[in-house]
Amino acid sequence: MIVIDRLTKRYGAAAAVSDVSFTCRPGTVTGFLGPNGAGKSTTLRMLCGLAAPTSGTASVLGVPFRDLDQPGRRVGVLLDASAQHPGRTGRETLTLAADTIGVERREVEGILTLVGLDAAAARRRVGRYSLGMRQRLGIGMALLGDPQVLILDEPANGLDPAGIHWMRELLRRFADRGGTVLLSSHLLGEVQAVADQLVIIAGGRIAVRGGTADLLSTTGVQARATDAEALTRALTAAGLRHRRRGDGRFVVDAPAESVARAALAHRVVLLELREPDAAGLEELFLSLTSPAERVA
Amino acid sequence: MSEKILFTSEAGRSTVPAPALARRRTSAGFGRLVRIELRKSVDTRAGRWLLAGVAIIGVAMTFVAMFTGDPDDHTFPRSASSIQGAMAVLLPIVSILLVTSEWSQRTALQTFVLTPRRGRVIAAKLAAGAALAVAVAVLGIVLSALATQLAGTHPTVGEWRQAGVVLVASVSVQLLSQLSGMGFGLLLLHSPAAIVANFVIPIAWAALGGGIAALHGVQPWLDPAKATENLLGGHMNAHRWAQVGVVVLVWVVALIAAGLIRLRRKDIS
Repeated sequence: MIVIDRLTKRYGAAAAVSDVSFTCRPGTVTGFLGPNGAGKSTTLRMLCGLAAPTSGTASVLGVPFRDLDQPGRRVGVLLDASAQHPGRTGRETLTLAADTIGVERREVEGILTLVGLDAAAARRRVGRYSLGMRQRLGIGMALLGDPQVLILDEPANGLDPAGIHWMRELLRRFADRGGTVLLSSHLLGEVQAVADQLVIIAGGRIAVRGGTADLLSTTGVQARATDAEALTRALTAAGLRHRRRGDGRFVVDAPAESVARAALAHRVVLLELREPDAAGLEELFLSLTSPAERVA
Repeated sequence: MSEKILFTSEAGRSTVPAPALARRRTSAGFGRLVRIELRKSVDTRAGRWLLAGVAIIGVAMTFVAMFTGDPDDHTFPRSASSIQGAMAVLLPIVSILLVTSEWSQRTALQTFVLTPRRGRVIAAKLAAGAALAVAVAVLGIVLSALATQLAGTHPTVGEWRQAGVVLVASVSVQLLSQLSGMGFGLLLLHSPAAIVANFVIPIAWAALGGGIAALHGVQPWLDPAKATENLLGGHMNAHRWAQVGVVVLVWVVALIAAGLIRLRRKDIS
């Protein structure tokens, strides 16, 4: 269980994270999404007690992270796969973590196998690892203490498609046996397939949050017209909730037929009218994050 | 990496997260943290080479002490002085890196996630650094004794009586240089800056103290180089021990305390 409550982080006047709240329940995978620089990493570092929030609180398994007894045995954390000492071998890196957590050294061998680092890779120094191998090592470190909660920042970065599939399977299985997973990504496609819940942030604020299935079904129909202003008037007159995206398309929270009738009533020529589909969430994600990114 | 492997390797592990009570254990013991920090100082090539370098310098200085200079100078305290002094120059780099590499390699993220009480981690690092300093001091004593024995001059009984003093002085010198270096590391959290500061600031301070008449009175109380020289010179008295105490207060205790205060509030990234 992870509870994030109105977390805010300011650096001087600039707010990196503003009023972010969400909860991750046991047995679920939460995808924490946003473009680079949206405040995901800052939020996760505050959650893990590495950065002090300006205001708000965060707890893991009912207590602030820093009050956890034996945190390595309760919570598996991967905040940055490239933050490894390049002079240590993969096995040595895991051995140090195992000693700190207090698990048997033989667990290290099981973890190496689990994350797909073979004997040759384990002997190699981390400085010579690819980013994908570092991610596997980092995921291995997170799993080493057999935790109940996983917090992973951009774990799919650098993994090849097979690696991403492997990670999804692993996280799904972890959640299915009662674990809590929070993973961040700047790519919706990486987490859409595995996340039960999505929290999308942009510019440090939560833009959208909800069940993945719900978000998929409520993205609304998309419409495009020859005269955008006329369509705005038509939709407003019909009382249909809508917003206009940067590319000129409208997203309307109503059935396609209602949109078509509103357009007909105001003699608006529609060029496009589409029901939400699987690609809808991706478009929603882009529409929510891209303009904010450009403005900022 | 297939699903089968996932299942097999997990077979021995609990399949369902155990309830919190079943895994109640005290935090990692302090001794374990110190052992981990000692391991970190030798598990990279850089660390092993630096420690080897300290030993090599010690051995080299042993030969220098045996074969150069006036045979009358081939005494146990004088050999110890040159051997310990030389090793004390390089040794602090080992422990500076033990602190600063957590930031330069960004392993601090993982370290403080696994042990959120930052003061505990730093205390373990200081203890590991102190243990290395004592080990190096003892190595230096053994080399000094060898140099004295093998140099051919026959040490007088009186000279060996000074062995206890030399031992205390040697350990003190290595601890002072080691912990002062770690103080710079902790305050700056940056490898090159801390290493440079560790060498340059004491020298600059000594030059300043030597050049300005008004500082002559306070200089012996604040100059680590002078304290080291007095300790290795073998002529300590209450006054000089008091001076060493003040030097330790400024160059070890104050630096480390300032670093710890800063670290408490610092965001790790």
